[in-house]
Amino acid sequence: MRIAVLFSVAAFAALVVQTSVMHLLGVVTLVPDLLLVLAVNLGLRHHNMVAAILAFALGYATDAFSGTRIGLNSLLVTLVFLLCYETSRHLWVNNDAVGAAAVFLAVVFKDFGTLLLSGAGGDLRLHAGRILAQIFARALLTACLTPIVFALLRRGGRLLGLPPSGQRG
Amino acid sequence: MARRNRLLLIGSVLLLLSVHLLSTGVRQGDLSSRPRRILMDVMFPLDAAMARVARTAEHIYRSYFDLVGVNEQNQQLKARLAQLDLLQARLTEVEADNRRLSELLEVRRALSMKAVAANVIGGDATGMSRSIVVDRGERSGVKPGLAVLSEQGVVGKVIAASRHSARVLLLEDHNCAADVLDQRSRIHAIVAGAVDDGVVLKYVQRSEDVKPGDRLVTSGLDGVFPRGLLVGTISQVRPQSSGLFLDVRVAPAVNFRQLEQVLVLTEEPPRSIDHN
Repeated sequence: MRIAVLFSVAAFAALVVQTSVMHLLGVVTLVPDLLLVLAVNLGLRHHNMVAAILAFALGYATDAFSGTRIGLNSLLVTLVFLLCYETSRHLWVNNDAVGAAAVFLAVVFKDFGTLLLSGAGGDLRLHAGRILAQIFARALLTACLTPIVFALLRRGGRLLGLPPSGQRG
Repeated sequence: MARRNRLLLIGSVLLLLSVHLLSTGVRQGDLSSRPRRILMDVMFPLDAAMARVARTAEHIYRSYFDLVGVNEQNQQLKARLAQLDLLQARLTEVEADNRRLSELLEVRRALSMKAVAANVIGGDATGMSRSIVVDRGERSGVKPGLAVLSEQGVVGKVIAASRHSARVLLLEDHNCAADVLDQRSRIHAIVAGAVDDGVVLKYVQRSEDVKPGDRLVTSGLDGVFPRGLLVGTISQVRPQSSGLFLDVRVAPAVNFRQLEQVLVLTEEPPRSIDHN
């Protein structure tokens, strides 16, 4: 349950940054997807059922504060979690640089998924250049913040007595 | 192996649950919308506190930064001046709030509909959607589907509400739309947000008479926005590279980046009859 406490606190902090701080700073499109960073961390480093449920909850939390459809982000974030989990079973990923690369790909995957599943495929075709630039900029920003978030999670995990990130469970 | 299978099984169940939520659509009051309402209620004090902290910091920044490098002999005088500056900054802010609220009140009087003024306390959690969080919820009569306006024009509509706060989908979101009327040519069309930012007029045939500068007002036919509210002005018209329609860009009347207070209509407008 300690993992649930750690990620709940982190999720609330991420939500405050994404909804409140970014809004106060006047940032609209370039909002880092910190909740997705948490889901990627869960997929890469915490291989248990609680982690899967937490990933779904992170998606639901995103749905509660973004977009019009409940379930869209839950679906995509759970998918990202499962993909990261499968990747981490076959590749050595206990490294923040690999984590940042995984987050970059995850943001691109999720943003495209959001556009396609919300029926904005037509707009994507018409204004591909600008939309792609926005998505890649957001992915890059989120990837740059990933090592900081991972480090904070490690520190939080140590405080709560969680096993080091290399030992999964 | 058994652990992996368990994890994949629970993952699959959660994916199916997500697809179920997505395909059935969650309505206010549904069991599946309760966690969202609880989350919004939990986040409300955090968002409101952040907004307050930011306003206070802005006041201090504006009024106190000018005083850096004061002469020690004038310390007391400067401190007094700083207090007065703070007071003045606060009064200026109150005056601005008062002016905006008065304008909103004018809009409310003109519409003769029930409405509540709300402060904007947060934005969208991702950059993929355009929404704001306001500090009025079900306790003030705010519920999903209601229109949100500012003194400049149409802002958007409420899509979720908890007891103390609500989320408003802005007109510039690609999932938001309003039925509008060109004031000059009386052509009906749909105004909606574009994914790449901005607002567009949809489904305008090439043969139809629309020009840059035309003002667009709500038609009242969508059952959300009362008739006659300013939505924006046509800024660009050009034929789409393929297809039957024109590519029409709209400059919205509302500056969505500078929204501080909005007016939420707490009753649905009467359905208009199209007189054209």
